[in-house]
Amino acid sequence: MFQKIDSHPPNLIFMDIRLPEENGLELTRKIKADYPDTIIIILTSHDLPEYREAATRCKANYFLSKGSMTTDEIFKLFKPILLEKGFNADGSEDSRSGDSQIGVIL
Amino acid sequence: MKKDTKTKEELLAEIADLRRRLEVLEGLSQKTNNNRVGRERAEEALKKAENALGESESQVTSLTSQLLLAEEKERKRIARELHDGLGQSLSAIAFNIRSTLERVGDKVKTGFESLEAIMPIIQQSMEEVRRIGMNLRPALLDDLGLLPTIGWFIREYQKTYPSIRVEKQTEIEETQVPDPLKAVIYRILQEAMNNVAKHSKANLVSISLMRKRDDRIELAIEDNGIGFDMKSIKKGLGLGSMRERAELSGGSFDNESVRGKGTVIRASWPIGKLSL
Repeated sequence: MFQKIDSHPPNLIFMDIRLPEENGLELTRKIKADYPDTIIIILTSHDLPEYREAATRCKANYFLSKGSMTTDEIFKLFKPILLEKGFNADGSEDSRSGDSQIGVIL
Repeated sequence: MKKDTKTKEELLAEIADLRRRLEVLEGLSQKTNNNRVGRERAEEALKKAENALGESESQVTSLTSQLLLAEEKERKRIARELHDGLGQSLSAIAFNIRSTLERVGDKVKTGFESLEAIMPIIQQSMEEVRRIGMNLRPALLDDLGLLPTIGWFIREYQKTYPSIRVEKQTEIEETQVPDPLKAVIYRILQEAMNNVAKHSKANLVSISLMRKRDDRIELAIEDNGIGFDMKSIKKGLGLGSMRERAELSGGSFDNESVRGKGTVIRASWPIGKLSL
């Protein structure tokens, strides 16, 4: 998996906690150590303080509780991230940015 | 004058008597011999029976241990299926309804009232699925570990039993607790805390989880409740199942209770000698 990241470092990662092989929080910690600029959003259906604290400890940028946000709220959250990463606010690629793609790593 | 020498008849009678005695003695000796053989056989049979009993006891122990592990595994599987299946479907339904209502906005209200009304029901169902799953096996235990799970458990416990104050002392790192022991510790804590709520009438319970100097992990739960008479309590209160969980995982279990002076439950495990 790291080979994929190394060959094409992602701007943004939506990270589930329960993954087939490794804990998503642990994986976040590892990715952030090598790619501090990659924005990682932890996704979980358990909106508990323990999960939020763990996400912060692993240096995740955002914590998103599944089912708790409306499309509007999600868009408001990601708009500044998209702009900062060289995308237009509607998610289309900005001419300033280099090649980019959306992919599923795992 | 009496003769010193015996007559032939007398001698024959004596010989006959001696023969009889010898026969009796031989008979006794035979019996003794038979007894010895019989005893040896009985001892051998006893030994075999003892061995068989030992073997069957260790089979029972191993089966109980496997049963507990299987139960835990099954609880985990059902909790995950609930979460990944029903839970995700409900989340998707809620998301889609919310998005639809959002798109419609305030302009077209008519016709969408039923969708609005359904939202609280879906939220309630999602909460129910989460609650059942967490009761089966808290996701935190596998996602975050034992210490956050204990923290969460205490918070939930205090919501349910606000009259019982809970004090917690943890002097151990998450990484110092072997993975298979985490569920065992959590289950013993859960059982002990349920006992406190159901039977003790306590208003204070102290939980401690420590790494002891002699390389042991010790869990202690102490309450200030009414206690119970140790002699009169043989079964029930889940003491047997707590002891079983502790001992089957290579640890030891001990509880003290005095009427009117509360109860202490203590379970400890030597690190490195766990049978899990």
